[in-house]
Amino acid sequence: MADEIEPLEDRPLLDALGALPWPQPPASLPRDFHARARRARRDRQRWRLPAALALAAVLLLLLSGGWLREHRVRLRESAALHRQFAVAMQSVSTGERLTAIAEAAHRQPAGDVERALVAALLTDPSANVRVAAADALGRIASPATLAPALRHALALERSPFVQVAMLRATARLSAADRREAVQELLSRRDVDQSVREDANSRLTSTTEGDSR
Amino acid sequence: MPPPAGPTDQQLMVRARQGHLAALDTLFARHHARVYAFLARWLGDNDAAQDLVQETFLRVLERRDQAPPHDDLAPWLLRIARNLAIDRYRRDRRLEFTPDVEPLADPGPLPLERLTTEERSAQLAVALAAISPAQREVLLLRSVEGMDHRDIGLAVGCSEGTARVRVHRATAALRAAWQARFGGTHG
Repeated sequence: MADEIEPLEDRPLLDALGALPWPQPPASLPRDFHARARRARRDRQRWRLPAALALAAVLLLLLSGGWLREHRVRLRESAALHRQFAVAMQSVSTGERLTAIAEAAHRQPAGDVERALVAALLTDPSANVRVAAADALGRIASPATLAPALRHALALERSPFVQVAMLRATARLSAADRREAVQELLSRRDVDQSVREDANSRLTSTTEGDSR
Repeated sequence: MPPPAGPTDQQLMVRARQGHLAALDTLFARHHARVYAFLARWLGDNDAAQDLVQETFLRVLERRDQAPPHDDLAPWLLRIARNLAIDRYRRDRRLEFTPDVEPLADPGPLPLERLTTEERSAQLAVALAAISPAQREVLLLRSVEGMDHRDIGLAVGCSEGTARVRVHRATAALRAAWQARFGGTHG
């Protein structure tokens, strides 16, 4: 293709065009350009800080938006799980209630699950479920929830099996709260001797400084 | 075009990237007249050419990190100038850019030897203004700028082969335009 086209180039015409006088720029053009370039650099510097601030604000919004979205998703998921737990704890099947408690015991923070676990500890007809609730509360409940729940439950619980589980759950309480909860049990006359000995040993260890 | 005295264009851009913006002033001094001449002839508008020359070198300032590693940056500068002109004129809709327009009738070589220097300059300028901006552009780059077809392709954004074809067609269009305007005068 080059060999076909090259000879067809009209050299005289191109040369004649090349010989046309060049339009000359005005003498002021370099001065005008320098002034414009200085203004452009100044404007860029002037906008640099606000632009940086704007960029930081946008990034912050994006990040917080991302965090908010994530937080909302977590809340929605948590609420859904809590609803599932509440429904499961209404089940007539002891096995389902035990399974629900076992799953809830791994959830942090406990939130509404704590209240459902406390309700199970106090009112569930199955001793096995009440033991599972005591164990779960002992693992995940906040001391602020755990202390009054155990005090109340230890004052009422009749099953030695469940009483011992509650005593185990006092391990996470402060020394003072543990003493108060254990005394609730010891003040009762219907407590089994083995349970009383267990309770006394926990009081003794508390007295000797085994506090949280 | 003979190579410039002093640092090459690439060396100037290296210095500009290092923050020595006086290097851009040297580049401006070296090339602004050529960029202006091209724009003025191409657009037929001296005021626009002045403004676009300044915009071209401001763009070079912004994009100094993107300059190609060539000792002669004229093709790159002309390409920037060209693109800026196209953007502006497309917004104004004052220029129609149809890269490949078939000439109506190519009369063959012009009787340039019969013309005085002044006649030749005046008539070719008129004929140049009569062809399309795209045709005028490649003719100016070939004839006035002395670019080879590879550099023309770089400047206008096409292959070397396409640049050859465009120059060929533009030449034919110029001859036809001259013939239409002045052909009867010179037989």
